[in-house]
Amino acid sequence: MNLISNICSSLCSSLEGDAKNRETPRAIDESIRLPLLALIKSAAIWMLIATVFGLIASIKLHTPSFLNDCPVLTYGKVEPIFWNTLILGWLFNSGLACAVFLLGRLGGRPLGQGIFLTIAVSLWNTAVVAGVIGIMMGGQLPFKWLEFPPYIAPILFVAFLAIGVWCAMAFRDRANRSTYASQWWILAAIFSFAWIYSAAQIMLVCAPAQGAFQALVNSWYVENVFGLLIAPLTFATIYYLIPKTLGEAVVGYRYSGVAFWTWIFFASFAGVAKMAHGPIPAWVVSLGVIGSFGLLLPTTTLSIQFLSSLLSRFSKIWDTVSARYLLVGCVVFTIVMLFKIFGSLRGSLDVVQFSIFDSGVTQLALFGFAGLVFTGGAYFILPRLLNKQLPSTTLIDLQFWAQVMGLVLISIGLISGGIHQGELMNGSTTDMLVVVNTMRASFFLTSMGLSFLLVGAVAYNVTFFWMILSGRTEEETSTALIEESPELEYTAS
Amino acid sequence: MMSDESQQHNLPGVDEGKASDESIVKTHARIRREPSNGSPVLFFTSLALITVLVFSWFYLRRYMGEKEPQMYLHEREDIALYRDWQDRPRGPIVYDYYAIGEKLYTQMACVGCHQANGEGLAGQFPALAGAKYVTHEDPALPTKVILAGLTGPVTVKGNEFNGVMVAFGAGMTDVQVAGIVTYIRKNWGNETSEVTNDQVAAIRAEIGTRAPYTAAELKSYFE
Ligand code: HEC
Repeated sequence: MNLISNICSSLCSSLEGDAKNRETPRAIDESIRLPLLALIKSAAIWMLIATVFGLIASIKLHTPSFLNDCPVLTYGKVEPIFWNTLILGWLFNSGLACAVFLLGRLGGRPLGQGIFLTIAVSLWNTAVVAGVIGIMMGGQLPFKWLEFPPYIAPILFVAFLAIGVWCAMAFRDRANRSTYASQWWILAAIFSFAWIYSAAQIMLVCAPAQGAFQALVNSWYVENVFGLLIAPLTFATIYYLIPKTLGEAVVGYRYSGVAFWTWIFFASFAGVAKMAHGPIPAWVVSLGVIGSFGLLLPTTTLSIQFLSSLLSRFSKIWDTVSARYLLVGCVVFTIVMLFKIFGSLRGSLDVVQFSIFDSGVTQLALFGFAGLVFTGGAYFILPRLLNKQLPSTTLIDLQFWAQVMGLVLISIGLISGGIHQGELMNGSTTDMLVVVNTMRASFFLTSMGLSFLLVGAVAYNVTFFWMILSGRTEEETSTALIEESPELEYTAS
Repeated sequence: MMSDESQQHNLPGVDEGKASDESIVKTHARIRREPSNGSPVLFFTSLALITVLVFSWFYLRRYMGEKEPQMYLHEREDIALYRDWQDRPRGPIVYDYYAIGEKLYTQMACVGCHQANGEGLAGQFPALAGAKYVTHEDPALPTKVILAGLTGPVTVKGNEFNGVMVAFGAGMTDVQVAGIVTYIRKNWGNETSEVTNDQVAAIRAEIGTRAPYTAAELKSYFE
């Protein structure tokens, strides 16, 4: 009973103290509390589920007999479930949570139709659950990251459209007429995903393209899920959290527009390079390589913006939960993009194309860049949403370091392992069994890394539910818990 | 913001908001309107822009400038190889008539009647080795026999024959006929000129489809 009343007080708090304190931000948070909690809750649970499935898949690679007898947990099912829950479950929900919060806060006005958004989000998550069950029942499609059975796609799409419309409305109804980079990125993510998802569904499922073109569409979709959905949402969060947690304007913000447009332009055809030496015209691959390499431009701009903003305030970072996540996320971003850019050149593809390298880079990008930044975002949002403190910073410390450790292990396991694997496979004298045995060590490292990430995911869930379920302390019933933010200082240099 | 001073967290329970939302939007909007003032971001962005442009220029020249018709080949060397192969010299085709004929002599069953040593069978099949029909200076003579066949009494190397040699013309190409004629004219000690497919074609056109020759019809070759 106590727990239930605690949940109620978390959901609808009537705070004491100065009602004037942070009036607008509190009103905004109030207006989107329900959908935000739904999103963060789903994100937390999906994070746990995705990590568990990732771990099972990874263990099966070095110990094939693991869970051998379970027909719903064969590698062929676990692996797509891992990726789909990771992207459509965890990252989608947590990214959207950040996006919704930013739309509200940057717009400067409480947002309506919170219930509508909550329903759309629930529909989305129900569809993802149904999709996972569909895969387990054996109804999966053969397309990477689009494995959900065909009847799931329309539901996901409708739910996404509803979410997208809500976001577009939220943007339109803003009080601050000027816009901030975060808002551009959010809108770009929403429009792009509606585009790439429907295009991929139409060309792969509804009216399937023939032959090699299918693979082309699929690899285009996969790359764009990162480039045009996950990464933009992450950039939005970074752009917001930098001034918010460091109290300083983003260094070189003037060039955000350049970074934005060049990213959208190049990212939209970057994925094609992966098809190198496949049965598609060489010029298509060449364009893809140009797309990937072109990302060097926005990557440079964004990396320097983020890193020099963060590093100039390095001392402030370690005593702020979200800024820590931000810093690691941004460092990982730079590393990941260098891997992606130089990994897409023909010379590199000769080595890494059919190895585990790509999976490693993708996992690093998703867990390390997007995952960490969104987690940082959630830790910034949650106390404001609930007017409660983070329950245990020791637990958060543990989560943070477990995730960092996990990422290091995964990178070593898959990325360096992948390069090694590619080199071995290219040396035609190497025995296939030697290659397999060498890889076993890499997969083992990956499993260890995923175990660390699992620890992180558990800690995250504990923190979240602890926060929701615990009663308010004295100070948490007061609006004075969170101080009014000062004006952003900026002196033109 | 930590309000409980006595509690010593290494991290605060609430991350401090160090800038108000409205000021974030407004200040940044102002920064965008300000004139550019050479920041490191501008410097590295320009550097990256130049790198991307230079790379794209060379890359596109390297990989898009040269194509083969199907456009599947990537590497310059492969395309060059493919081109070389396509442009390989295609002069007149040179046939090894003797080798062609050698095979056909067995395949077309000549060997069954005229024997492997070309001596034929006494009383039944005339010899080819040293036969005047074969070694005649004009290769048209044996060519005509093979194309249209030979029938009626014939004297070869002093022996009388009166059998039927069927026409082979309809079932063989010019090259094949040229091959077999060349073979019998150069084998078993015969040392006469070879015949080409063009010559065969001309003879074939000249005689048309006709009944087998008789020795009498071919008498003009020996006058
Ligand atoms: C069925 C047996 C038979 C076969 C097979 C046969 N011949 Fe003859 N060939 C004869 C006979 C019989 C004559 C003599 C015809 C006559 O009496 O008028 C002859 C005559 C000839 C002559 C002219 C006479 C000579 O000996 O100079 C030539 C040349 C000749 N054959 C070549 C060939 C060639 C080349 C082949 C294979 C394509 C061939 N023959 C296949 C039975 C055969």
